[in-house]
Amino acid sequence: MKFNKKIVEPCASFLYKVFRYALLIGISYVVLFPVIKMISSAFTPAVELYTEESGFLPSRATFENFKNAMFGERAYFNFLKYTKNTATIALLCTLLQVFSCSLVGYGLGRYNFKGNPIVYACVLFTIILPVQTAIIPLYYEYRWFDIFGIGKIIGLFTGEAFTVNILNNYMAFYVPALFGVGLNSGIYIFLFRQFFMSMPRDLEEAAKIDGCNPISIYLRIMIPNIKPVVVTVALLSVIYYWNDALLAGVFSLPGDDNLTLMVALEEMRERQGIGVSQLDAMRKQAEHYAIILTAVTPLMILFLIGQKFFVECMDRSGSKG
Amino acid sequence: MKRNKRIKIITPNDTAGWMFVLPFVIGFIFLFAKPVAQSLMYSFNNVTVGQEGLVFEPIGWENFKTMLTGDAKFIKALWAMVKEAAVKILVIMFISMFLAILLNEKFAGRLLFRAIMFLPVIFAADQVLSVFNALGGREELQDTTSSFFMMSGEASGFVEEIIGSFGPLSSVIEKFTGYATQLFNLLWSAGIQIILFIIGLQTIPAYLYEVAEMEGATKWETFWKITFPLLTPSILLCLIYTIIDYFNASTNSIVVMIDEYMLGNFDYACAMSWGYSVAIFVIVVIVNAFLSRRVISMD
Repeated sequence: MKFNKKIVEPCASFLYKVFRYALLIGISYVVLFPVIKMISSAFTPAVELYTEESGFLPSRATFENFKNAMFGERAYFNFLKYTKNTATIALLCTLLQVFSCSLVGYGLGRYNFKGNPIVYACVLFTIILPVQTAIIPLYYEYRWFDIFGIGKIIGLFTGEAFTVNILNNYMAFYVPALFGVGLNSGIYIFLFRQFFMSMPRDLEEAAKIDGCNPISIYLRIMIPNIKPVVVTVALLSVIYYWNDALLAGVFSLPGDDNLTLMVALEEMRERQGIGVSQLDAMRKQAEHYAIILTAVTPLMILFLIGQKFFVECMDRSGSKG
Repeated sequence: MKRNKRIKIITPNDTAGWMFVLPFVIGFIFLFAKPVAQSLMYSFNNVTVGQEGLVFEPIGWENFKTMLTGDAKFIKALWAMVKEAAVKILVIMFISMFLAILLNEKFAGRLLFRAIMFLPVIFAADQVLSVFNALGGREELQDTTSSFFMMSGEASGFVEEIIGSFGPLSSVIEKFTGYATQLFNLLWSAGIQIILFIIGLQTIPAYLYEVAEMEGATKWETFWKITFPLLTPSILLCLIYTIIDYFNASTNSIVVMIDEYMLGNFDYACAMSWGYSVAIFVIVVIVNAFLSRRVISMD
């Protein structure tokens, strides 16, 4: 028996489409489940969370959890202040990281200078070593920072080594970000290197014939060509600095005024003991969901904005061929 | 197409290359190598907090000896982790590549699905994840997931019977159904890999597919002859990223162990994280050496 191609092919492609949607919807359900649960819990009155087997949707949505925790008269979580601190660190560090990591990635991916493999091995080494290893010596380094040995040289003349304390103004985040050893910097350098390496080599040759110097080749030709990677790295960098509690916990200043969101959350959880009654504990829990939800909302907004640009760039990168 | 040559010679100009990597070199020496060397020094000493800062008392290889022979916990945990990682990393790679290929096709709603797959990256903070745990989301979800993917109630009993009838194979199948219930955890660590794969897919020139279609290649052939070979650089990239991400996750049993020792027995913690890093480094070097020859690049 011979199948009619005109009937079989549309059928197969229709079945495939159904299968694709079913699979994607199933997987999305798995990914979204806890997120939806958290969002709905944040809008559920604490009493309802306590009394009822909580379903997916609250019987009546309420803002009381948000108001009690962050925006009301007796708010105990100063959301705006923490967000300002976090956003300052995350945005500035991201700028510095994109700048330094793309430079270094470009140098590693396109120049075969002596020592390239050694520098590359060093980059891999920074990725692999757990951050915890160096965090205590780093604290001392930043507390008495001698500006890459310059302070010591000054010390040779004045008799006393010159040091500054860079822990007191978030500089302990900016300095490493600028010098390619910030949070996850190694991974971003690695990413940039990989994408620079995969670009066709005639790009630079043509530019060199036109009389471009290395800096302008980098700025005018290479960077515009890897926009999707730049956007991806920027997005990831913001997210990781926003979510970081380890470095921020060690290097940010003591005092409530200087906390970042995630560190403040951690401290709040430690302070918050077991509630007097179970209902009280439930109320605290519901407020906690509200706080977490608010803390990640800026990231979600940023992602929604970035996603459009980012996907557009990803699609464009395919067309050049 | 030819085999990947290491780094392409573009200019013989050494200084320009060094200028570009200079920021990293400075940062590496002063803000990475120096503190890391200090921590290495700590691991050969017995460090105590004295009146004037830290007091060092040299003890040689004592800490490393304890780690490798005396303290059975470390080696045991490391071995258990490597075994678990081998399977999980492969599954993560497979899931992310498969999803990236699906999400790279043109269909209505793919932007929405891409956004959903990226969500886990946004919620990666420990504080947020711990709330998901507190919600009981995971267990509850695992139940619903397993029923979603493998039918529920009586039907699953039937499935078990079938599995049982496979005899020696049944344990293997059971393992795989076990992984299906872990889908949540795996999906939540595949976000970045999916993006890397989508970017990798986008860099494959469209004309290759047009040629393949004109020549009358089937989709299956197109995948194995064009997509897969040209995706090999992305596969290597993702694999190394996944390995490092997996081993350095803050919920990882050895990382937790290091964190715990950090507070009390600081020098031992330093020695441990050194030993751990060397182990990861060896794994990455082996994987890289094994696969980088098989990587195919354009031009």
